[in-house]
Amino acid sequence: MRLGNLERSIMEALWNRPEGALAQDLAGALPSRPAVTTVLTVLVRLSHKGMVTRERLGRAHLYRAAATKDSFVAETMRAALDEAGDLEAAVNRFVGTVSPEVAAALRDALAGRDGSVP
Amino acid sequence: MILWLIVAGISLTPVVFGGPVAGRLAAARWTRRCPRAALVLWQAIGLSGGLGAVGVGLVAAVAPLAALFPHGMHTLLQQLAAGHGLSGLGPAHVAALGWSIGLIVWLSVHTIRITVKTVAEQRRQRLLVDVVADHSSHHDAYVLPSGERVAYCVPGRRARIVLSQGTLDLLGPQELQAVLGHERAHARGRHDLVLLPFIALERAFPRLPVARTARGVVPVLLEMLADDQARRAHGELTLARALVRMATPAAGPAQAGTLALADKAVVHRVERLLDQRDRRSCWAPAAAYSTAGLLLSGPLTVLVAPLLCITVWPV
Repeated sequence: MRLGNLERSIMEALWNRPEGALAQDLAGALPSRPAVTTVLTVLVRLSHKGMVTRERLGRAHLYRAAATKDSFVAETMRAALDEAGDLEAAVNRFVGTVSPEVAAALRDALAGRDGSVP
Repeated sequence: MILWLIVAGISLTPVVFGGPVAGRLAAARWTRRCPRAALVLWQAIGLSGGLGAVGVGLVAAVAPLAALFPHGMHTLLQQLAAGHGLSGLGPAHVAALGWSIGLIVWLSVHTIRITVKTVAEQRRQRLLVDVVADHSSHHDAYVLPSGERVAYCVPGRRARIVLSQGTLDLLGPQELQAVLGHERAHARGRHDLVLLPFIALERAFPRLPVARTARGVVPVLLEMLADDQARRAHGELTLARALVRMATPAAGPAQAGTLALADKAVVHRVERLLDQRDRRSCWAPAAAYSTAGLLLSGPLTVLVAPLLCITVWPV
C-alpha cells in the first residue's frame, strides 16, 4: 500500500473520531492492518505538517485531526481560487470567474458560432 | 575593448529602452497566433538581459588588464589565484566588478527564494489533495468534494490534476476532456518552471518596466499554449464552451475586485478560440526566433570567449 493512501485513511479515521485516537487503535481499525510503528511514523509526519495535533496521555499520545475535512477542502480550494501574486506558479487554474454581464456576452458570442447555448 | 562592450551591451537594448518596446510586444497580435515564438522571445529578452548586464560589468572591470576581454579575464583570474588581488584595477573598475558579482548574487537570491516558496506550496497542495480528494481513475484526476467549480493542476514531478465535484456536475464529457487536456498541457510542459524565472526577475527588479511586463504577459502566453493543445485534441468550440461554463459565476453574490482582471483574460481567450483568422501561419515566428538568437548571441559570445580561449588557444 502506498504511504499516500495510508496518510489518507488515517486522516479519514481521525475525522470519524473527533474525540481523538491512539496509534494502536488506528492501526487496529484500518482495513489494511498496518503495523503500529508505521502508523506512528505517518502520524508524526502529519503532525509536522499541521494536519494532526497530539496530546500526551499517560505513556502514549492521543491524536486528533487539526481541522475538519471541510476546512481542509476549503484550504485546498483557496489556493486554487486565490489569484496569488507570488505563488502563481504553484497552481495552474483553468479559468477565473467573470462578472455576470461578461458571462452573458460570452454566451451570446458562442451561440452565434455554434447555435447551441451553453 | 569598446567592441566587447557593444557586443555585451546589445542584449541590454530591450532592458534599457524596455518600457514602450515591451508594451508593444506584449500587445502585438502575432503573439496570439504564435504564443510559443513570443514566449521564446521573452525568455531570450530575460536571459540575455541578465547575462548582458553581468557581461558589461566584467568587460569594463578588466579593461585595464589587457587589450582583449578574454585575456583581461584570464589575467584577473590568474592574479586572483596568485594572491595579487585586484591590483591594476582603478576604483571604477572595481565598482564594475562589484556590479557584476552583486547582480549575480541578487538574481540568485531571488530565484532561490521564489523557487523554495513555490516548491513548498506545491508540496503542501499535493498533500492536501492526496488527503481530501478522491482519485478518479476514469479521468486520471483528483476530485474534491466541493460544489464550487474549479479545475486546476498542481505542477511538479508528480503533478496532480484536480477537479471539484461541482465541475464534474457542470461539464459534459467532451468539455471535461478539453479542460483535462488544458491542465495536462500545463503539467506536461512544466509551465510552472517556465514562469518561475519571470516571477523571480520581477521580484528582483520590481521597478524595471520590462520585468513587470514580462511577468504579466508570460502567464497569458502559457494559457494560450495550453489552450492550443486542448483545442487541437478536442476542438475549439468544445474548449470555448467549457471556458464559458466554468467562468460563469454560480448564483449568489459575486466577489468583486478580482473580476475585472479575470473578465479581460477570459474574454481574450474565448475570442481567440472563436477567431479563425488567428490560425493563419505568419512570418512572425521566424522574426521572433531570429531576434531571440541575436539577443542571446552578444552576451553568450562575451561570456564564452574566455572559456574558448583556454580550451582552443591557451595563453
